[in-house]
This record gives sequence, C-alpha cells and structure tokens, in this order.
Amino acid sequence: MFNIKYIIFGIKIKKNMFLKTSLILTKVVLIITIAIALVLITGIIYWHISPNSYDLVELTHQFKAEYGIGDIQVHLNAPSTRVDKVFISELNAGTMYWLFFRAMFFIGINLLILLKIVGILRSIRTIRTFYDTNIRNLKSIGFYAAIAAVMSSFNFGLWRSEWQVNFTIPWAVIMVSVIAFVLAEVFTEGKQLLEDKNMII
Amino acid sequence: MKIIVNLDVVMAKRKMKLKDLSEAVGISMTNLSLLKTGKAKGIRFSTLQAICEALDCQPGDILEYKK
Repeated sequence: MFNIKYIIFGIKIKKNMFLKTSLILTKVVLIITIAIALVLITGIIYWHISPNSYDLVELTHQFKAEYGIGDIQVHLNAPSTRVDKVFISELNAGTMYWLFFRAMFFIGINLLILLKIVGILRSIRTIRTFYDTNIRNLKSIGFYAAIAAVMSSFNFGLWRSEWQVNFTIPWAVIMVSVIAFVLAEVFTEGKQLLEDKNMII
Repeated sequence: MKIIVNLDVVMAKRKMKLKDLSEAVGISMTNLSLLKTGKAKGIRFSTLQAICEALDCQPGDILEYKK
C-alpha cells in the first residue's frame, strides 16, 4: 500500500508506514502525558497558595475507582446547586494529596508503558523483533499494568466529613497485563525459532 | 543416535583449508566452523550441494549416522 523498500544492514526491507505512524502517535501521547503531569504539579502547587481558586472545579465522577486520573469539569459560572457535587476547594488536604498521588501514579505508569512501547516499535522497525530486550519490555508492560490494576481497583476520599470508598474490578487493565505477558511468551517462542533458524547453515 | 559431520575429514583428504572452502562455497568461516564442529542444528540442501561441489564428494561423505 504505502510500503517503500529500503536497505538496512544490507537487507532489503519494506518501510512500514503503519509502524512509523504508530511511533509518531505514541510519542505524541507521551508528550501529552508529560504535559498533563506538569499541569497537575502546577495545579497542586497553586492549590497550596490559593485553594479557593478551585471553587468551580468539580470532580465529576467523585471518588470512582478506575484507571486514570478521573474527570474534572470546570464551571464557568457558579452552579445552581452544589448538592452531591464534589468541588476541589471543598476537599481536605489528605484527600487532595491522595488524589494527586493517584493521578501521578497513573501518569507514571502511562509514561513507563509508553516508553516500553516506543522501544518495541523501534526494534520492530530495525528488524530486531525477537530479541531479549522486547521480551523484557513486554514483561515490564505486563508488570506495570498489573500494579495499575491493583491501584485502579479502589479509590476513596473524605468529603463533607463523610468517607467515600469505592471498589471495582478493572477488567480492561487486567486484560492488558495478561495480553502483555502472553505476548512476552510469544516473543520468547519467536526468539527460540529465530535462534534455530540462524543455526541452520 | 547422532548425525556426525565429517567435514574436517573430507577437507583434510582434499587438503583444503577452511578459508578456501569458505570462499568457494560462499559461506562465512564462522558458519563453516559451526558446521565442522557439529554445533549447527541443520544444513540446507543448497549449502550441502555447494560444499559437495567444492570438495568433489557425496553428501554421505560429509554426513554420517551413528547409533
């Protein structure tokens, strides 16, 4: 389709546009993730200076247990009702730190996984697919996703003198972890086959 | 049971060095060395044909089956 042949290490290979696009997209997501992390850090610093500035910032899913940093909604004007709505300015310091730590944890996990994906995509482009590095990368992704699954399974917060604790089973994250570990096994098999092939003269 | 590679024996009979065989067959000395020492897991028909041509021998002279 969009394949262009080029030569690397004396081997003619097809330049796969899909891989190139994936690599660019992954890098873009990586940059966006870093930007979100910086915004959050700036946000928590500013919260120390002026907590009331977040009077119109609402946690729309409250303390829902899920993978990710949660959704926030910034109201342009004061909402008609504040009942059952969690506004950041109403949170105590402990809950705020917990939510910040949780958000930074998921951002960190995202960054680590994205870096591993970049490594895998680069190796595939240079025809170094079935190598130990990729097996380690995939196992790391599986491990990070497993940790993220544990962290995603619960969330809590103190709001208006009432503790809210939520639990869930994060199927999607668990599946990512399982798929990564299975792929690591597939790559191990691939490495073995490649070694066998190279030993045939 | 084991497949024995007698490449070194045939090479010695023909008084051919590994480097000369490597050039004649078009296979690296490393790979020929692996084959000679029995570390290779297999040999392609094309490689066997090239070695037989270079050494003027039969495949049976190079490979031997032992129980």
